[in-house]
Amino acid sequence: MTPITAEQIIDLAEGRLPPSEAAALRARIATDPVAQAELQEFEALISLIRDDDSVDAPEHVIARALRLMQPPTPAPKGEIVRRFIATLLGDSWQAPLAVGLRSDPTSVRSLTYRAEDYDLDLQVLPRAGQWHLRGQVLGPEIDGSVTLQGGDRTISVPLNELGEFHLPLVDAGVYSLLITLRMCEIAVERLELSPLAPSI
Amino acid sequence: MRIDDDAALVKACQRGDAMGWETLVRRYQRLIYTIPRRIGLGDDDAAEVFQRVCVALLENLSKIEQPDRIGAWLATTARRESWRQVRRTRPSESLDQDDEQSPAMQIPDTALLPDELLERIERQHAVRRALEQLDDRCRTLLTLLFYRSDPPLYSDIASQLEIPEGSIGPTRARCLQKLRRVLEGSGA
Repeated sequence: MTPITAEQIIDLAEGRLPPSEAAALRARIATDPVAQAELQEFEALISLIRDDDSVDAPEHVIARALRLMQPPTPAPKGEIVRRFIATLLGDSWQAPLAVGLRSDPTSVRSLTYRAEDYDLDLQVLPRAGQWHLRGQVLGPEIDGSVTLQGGDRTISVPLNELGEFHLPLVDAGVYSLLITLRMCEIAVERLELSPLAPSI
Repeated sequence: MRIDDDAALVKACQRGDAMGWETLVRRYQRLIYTIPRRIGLGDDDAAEVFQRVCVALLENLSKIEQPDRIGAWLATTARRESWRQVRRTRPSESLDQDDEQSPAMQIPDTALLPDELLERIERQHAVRRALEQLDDRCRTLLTLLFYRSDPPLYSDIASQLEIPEGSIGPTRARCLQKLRRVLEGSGA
């Protein structure tokens, strides 16, 4: 009897053989442990490929992630970089509360700032004794980075194409936040991250 | 930049190498994005999960204990972030989705995507990576035969690959064997 070839095994695994031929080949393979193992492997591999309905991420989604590690674009040489101090417009922890409600220091704190033509929305989230800061810069240009500085720690992350940013967890404390754009800087000079921070 | 070794690629990213980061993100973009989609999230939510996974990767680059298993780390992280995104987007849910201690956050994320399915997605990704390492002819042939929902006729494949129709069967067998060897070599 001629040996079973890889091509025959793959034909069977792929389901290309007519039923009678497939049954006969399966009967032969059942008596050959090596061929049986081969058949199982190819059946598993072909099944994996055929069931694969994975999808590529859209290019703009990939581009946004790639920007996480790109250095911020420096200001053009010779241009004057203006610096604005952001003014606090709203603080969810300071907002008047409905009757029967009280400020909850474990909830998300939303802060809204204004600096010239720019708005800055900040969200401060408590997480297991630390603080997560995320936000979005809205304005004429949003190509830049965000730097949080406090104590001996300085963290910088780029703004994504929507002007959003996520900073890693930091300890409670007093920080400053600097948004560096191509043509200007926006500073939040005092940002107190603590469960009992009444003023920012 | 093309570093086939994931551990070396993670090290490059740890040094702040933007090209390494791009290679890593592009290598695993499909795996990361597929997981929220498989769970049933829409385009916008899947995009948000993708970004959060990449942020988590960036933040944890120096802490990843098995850089050669970065694919498994990304898959697990994508599942966790997908589950969080599901919690965020449920308007009826009043629990604080950002509170790790919340009872809702203690529900296992495997409820949305069991381990067996996650592992299958990882294996499928490994097969795609192995396919990329094959020569053009094998890669095209296997893609036409197995990845398309409506595989073309052998005559059309023969015409596209400029090979005799009769050689498609044996070529396909050789290509599958090569693919299997690459997978065995990668440990997948």
